[in-house]
Amino acid sequence: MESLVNRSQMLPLLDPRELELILFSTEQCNFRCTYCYEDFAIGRMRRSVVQGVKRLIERRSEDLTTLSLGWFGGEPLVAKDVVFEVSEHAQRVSRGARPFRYFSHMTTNGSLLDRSTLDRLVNAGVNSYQISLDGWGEVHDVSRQRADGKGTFDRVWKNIVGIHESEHKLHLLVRVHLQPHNLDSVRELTSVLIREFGDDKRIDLFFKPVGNWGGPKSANIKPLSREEAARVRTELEQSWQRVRAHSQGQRLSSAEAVLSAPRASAAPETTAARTAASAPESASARPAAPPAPLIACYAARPNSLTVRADGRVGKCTVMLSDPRNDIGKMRPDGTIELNPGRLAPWMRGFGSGIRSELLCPAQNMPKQTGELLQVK
Amino acid sequence: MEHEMTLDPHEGIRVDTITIDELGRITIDDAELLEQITGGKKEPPEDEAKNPQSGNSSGGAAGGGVPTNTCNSTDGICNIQFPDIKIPEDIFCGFNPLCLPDPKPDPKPDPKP
Repeated sequence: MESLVNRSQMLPLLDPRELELILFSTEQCNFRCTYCYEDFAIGRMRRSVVQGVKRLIERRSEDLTTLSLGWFGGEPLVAKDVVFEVSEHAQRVSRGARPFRYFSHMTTNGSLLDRSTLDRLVNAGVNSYQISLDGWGEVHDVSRQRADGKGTFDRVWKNIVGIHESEHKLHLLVRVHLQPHNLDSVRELTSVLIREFGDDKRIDLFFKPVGNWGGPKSANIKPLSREEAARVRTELEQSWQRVRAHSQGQRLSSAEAVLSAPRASAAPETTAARTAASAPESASARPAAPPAPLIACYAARPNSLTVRADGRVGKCTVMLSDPRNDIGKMRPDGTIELNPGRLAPWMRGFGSGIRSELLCPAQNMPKQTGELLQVK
Repeated sequence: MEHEMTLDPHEGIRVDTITIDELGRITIDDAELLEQITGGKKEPPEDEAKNPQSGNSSGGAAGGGVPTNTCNSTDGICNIQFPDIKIPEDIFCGFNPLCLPDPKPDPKPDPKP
């Protein structure tokens, strides 16, 4: 039997005054992770697309109350100039004649997030990060190699320590990948993370079994069994929870928290105030725990769009090779040339109220072409 | 495009009235629905802010009624799949920071001034 969602839970996710853009500054990556599903066929974001995104933000400032920019790739910082340009532009516009709230999140491998880059990004409003680790030291390097085959751990770790040592108001989610070969090392890594960062409430951990999402290397991916993954994950989460009982806020990026939070005004906030929306310590100040929010993937929400480096506008960050994910094309003037009929299947969960269709609309996506396509 | 609608008990939203324009702006061809979205959310009354789940929900993601086919399974593993794109293992992308196992209530600030 399907689990249903009531109407009042769904309504806040359809607010026309909110916009989330997930931007692929480049689809190239300096890593070649052994399980990656991407094909790196597209390079940095085209100039016309950068202009289009900037113009879209300007034009939408007339009606927006909240803008969330999520940086994705590829490795977004391989094209850090694009990230800087668009982020700084968005921040300027958000503080202009028609102010709105602006948040930004980045999914990054962390290798290029040195201190000067971090400083500039945070100053431009990018204050929420997700960085993945696959174990400690050489074990991490087994699956997280650079494109030239060299290891990556030392540099990523240095940059994570740099984040910890900074004074910035930010949130860092360290995503720890679980694989059959790395469990002992992940336990060692978790011990170090607890020891080094357990008292830094800006940093949270998320343990994630590596999955097989297709792509050119999919035949070589050997995930943990469900049972093993659940057992190890529970063990590690409990270790973390023992030192981080405040972890109530770790499930949300600042951007997502904002998009689901009530607005008091459209005025721009300080960095501190923005961060407080997701900072774990803010949870303890609440008089009572609010009801759980409706969980819906960004791909289900009509006010969330991905913009690929080549200008294709879509919904999902995994179905990158599937034409059902191409709902339009970004024009240089900031408008989107929409492909008729492509958006509706992503929103179908709002019509059916079926929770799983809101959680992952890619699941059982209606076919639009005769033959099913496989993620390459 | 046909949309399966189940109006009772959860009162699904008529998604055929919703689209986006060329600026990615949601347009809603249903004045009542638009009012409910934009009028009801901006400044929720205090009581509503404290208890907006007055409907007949299954209890929300952190509550009871957890289905087996969602990523909020209690064993820590999401079993949502993309069956028609032939991904063989139990996965969820995990890139959606909301769609994680055992979600906790969101860290909304106190709505009171």
